[in-house]
Parts: sequence; C-alpha cells; structure tokens
Amino acid sequence: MALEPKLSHTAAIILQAIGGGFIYGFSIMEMTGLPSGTVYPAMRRLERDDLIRSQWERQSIADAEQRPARKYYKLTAAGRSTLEASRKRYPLLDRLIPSEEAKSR
Amino acid sequence: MTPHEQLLRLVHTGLLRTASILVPRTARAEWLSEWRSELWHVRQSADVARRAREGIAFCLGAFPDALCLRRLAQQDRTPIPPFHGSAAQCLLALSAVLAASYALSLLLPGVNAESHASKYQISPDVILIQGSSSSDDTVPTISAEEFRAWKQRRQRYFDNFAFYRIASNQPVTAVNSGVHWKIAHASPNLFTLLGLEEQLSLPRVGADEKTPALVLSERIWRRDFHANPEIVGTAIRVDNRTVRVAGIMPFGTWRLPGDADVWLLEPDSENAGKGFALAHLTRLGTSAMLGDRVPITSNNSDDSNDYWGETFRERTRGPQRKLLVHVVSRRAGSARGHVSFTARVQLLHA
Repeated sequence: MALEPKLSHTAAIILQAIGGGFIYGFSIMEMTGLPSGTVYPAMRRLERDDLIRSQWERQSIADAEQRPARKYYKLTAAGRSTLEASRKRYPLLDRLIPSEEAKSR
Repeated sequence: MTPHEQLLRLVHTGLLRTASILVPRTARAEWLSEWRSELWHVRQSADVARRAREGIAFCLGAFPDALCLRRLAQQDRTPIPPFHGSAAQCLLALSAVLAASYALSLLLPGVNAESHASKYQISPDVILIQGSSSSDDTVPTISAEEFRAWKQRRQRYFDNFAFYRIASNQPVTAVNSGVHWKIAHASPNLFTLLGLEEQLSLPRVGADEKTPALVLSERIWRRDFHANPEIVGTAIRVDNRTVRVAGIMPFGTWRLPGDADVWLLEPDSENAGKGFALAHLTRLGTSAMLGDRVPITSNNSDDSNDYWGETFRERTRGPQRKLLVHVVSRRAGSARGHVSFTARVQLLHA
C-alpha cells in the first residue's frame, strides 16, 4: 500500500478548501484567511505532489463575464485520499471548511 | 481612475514584475498571468480604502511564491533516483559491471581476435594431414620427404599442399635484434592455401623473389620491434640469412598445431625433419569428406601408411560456438560415437 504524505495543517486546510469548492487562489485566501504568500506556495507544492491539478478557465467564459481568466485547481484521486487521511489527523478541518459532501448532507 | 489609483496599479504591476524575475523563465508568463488575474479579484473585492493596503500585501506574497517555484524547479533538475536501494539499482550496477568487464576483456591480447574468429576463417577445403599412429595432433608426424613425395605426384583428392615445421627445441637467433625466436619453416604458399593471405594483407610473393618472406607474430612485433609499422617490407637478418618482413599475424589468428613466433616462408626443398602437412581438397576430395575427419591411405611401392585428414572447422570456431558444440556433444552423451566415413581417401605416393 502506498504511503500517503502527511500534510501540514496549512496544506490540509488548503486541500480542504479546494475539496470544498474554493477552486482558485483568491477564493482560497478569502475562505481560509491565509495570506497570498502562504496559499500560493502551498498550492505549488500540492500540485508538485500530484494532490491537486490546475487548469485554466476557457477565455470565452472569462470574456463573457468581463474579467480575466482564472486558473482553477481541483483535487486528484491521490489528493482526495490524502485529504481523507488529513481529516482523521485534523478532525476540525470539516468544521473550518465544510466539504462538498458535508454541504450536500 | 484617480491618479492615486493609477499609481497603485503601477506599484502592483511593478511588484509582480519584480517578483516574476525570480520565477524560472519557462513558467514566468503563466505565473504572471495567474497573479494578474488574482490581483483583479483582489481589487474587485475591496473598497477603495482597502485596495491600497490589501493590493500591496497581496502582491508582496508573490515573492515567496516565486521563490518556491524556483526551488521546485531546481529540485526537478537534480532528481533523487527513484530506484535507490531497489532491484532496479542492483540490475543497473550489474549491467555496469558487465559492460566494464567486457570493455576490459577487449584490451586483453588475443581476446579481440577470439571474438572475431570468423574474420580469420581457414578455407573449409583445407585439411590437416596427420599420421594415424599419433592421437595427439600437436605432435608433428609428417616428414618433409613424405610431403615432397605427395606434392610431386598428381593427386585425385588434393590439388595443393603446404608444409611447415617448427624449430621449437633450438631457438634461432635473430642477428640484428639479439633475441631468440621459435621459427616455423613453412612452404611459401602456406597462407595462400589457408586462405589467410588477403586477410593478413600479405604481399604476393613473385616467382623471382629470392629473399624469403617472414611473417611476425603480433607478440614479437610488439616486443622486439616496438610495434613499428615501418618494419613491414624491410630486410632483416635471421639465423645468418637475409629475410624480408612480409606482414604481422594478429593475436589469435594462428590456430594450427604448433606455437611459433615467426613464420619463415622458404622453398620446400630446404625443409627437413617432421612437421605438419596441409592439403587443399579437390571436388572429389570434398565429396569424400562427410564429416570433419577422414581416413587417408598413402600407398607406395613397399607398403601403405595410414593418416587422418581433419578440417579446421573446430579450430576456427569462435568461443561461443565452441561452447555450444561442447554442450551439445555432452548432451548427446554416448549416442555420439566416432564419425564414420563412406569413402577412404587415397594419397598417391611418388
């Protein structure tokens, strides 16, 4: 069985935020209250570890809403299982940022 | 837009541009696009009073992000091998050892020639004739007189002969170098008969050439002539005779019985004593060979002598083929008896 990486509390919060539907940098900052100098480097490391994946929004959507295109982040399969393990390690994660599943309950 | 807001925009842009210098060149454009996009959202979310403070705080966060990307890029350039301590590492190490061993083995004298044995294949129509009384094919059994008698008579099974005798017990002094050599006194056509003349780049000896040709083994050429290529074609004194160096015999090329340092190609009439005889098969002779060995009878007026004729296929096989043949013959076990022949070749005596 592959070992899941142990995340720092900050990285776990960011992963939880992405899993909770906050899928671009500024929305994660707003949700977590973390500064940009913490959020973006953490996301780079999560992406390097294949826990999240980024994708640029289509330009047509951004143009229709008269704003610049956003870079969206989403959890990978490994990211989901790591988040699951992190929730056991940090039981308050779900209370800080409700996950999509928790919201739909 | 107020001048204050314009100034703020300039400061934001300047900060992001400055931070982008830290980002690896390949990721810089995309990184800048993301931060500009995010900055737009920061500006939209705050009122005019907060924009200045929050915008600058946000843009200052670009520096740790840029530094983080730079560190990650450096780590990617020096990845730790994923197979550290694994089976893959063992295989890689073994492969490296094998490759190094092979490269080293090629430096050993004769190994290269052994592995390229096919380059020096002796003609398949040539056989070595040995007296049947001796089972050891390294012992010379054919006298120079016998050989000359066969050569003088027109033969049905053979159309060419060569002879060589190795003066092994009495090393001969090469006068100009002051060293001792084991000399193979051989027929002038020895290498032509064996089919090695062109492979050894030996010059064809003209009928009017009176100076005997001398072929040096590579060992002697290196030891006594310091691998000087200019020696080929020059005349030297050997055993009080002037001879001309005709060529160099590479390591491993000589696979016939007897170990010689040099081969002196001289008229058969000058040879005496026992040596080794070689014969080239006619078409009739080839058809009589159903294997690598054939019994030969020599009839003369007084009595008849028995000999064996043997091809050089076994001697000139490369090491891999030799091993294969050995393994196959061992597996065949007792079922592999002696090879029988339907024909007995006859040597006509003068």
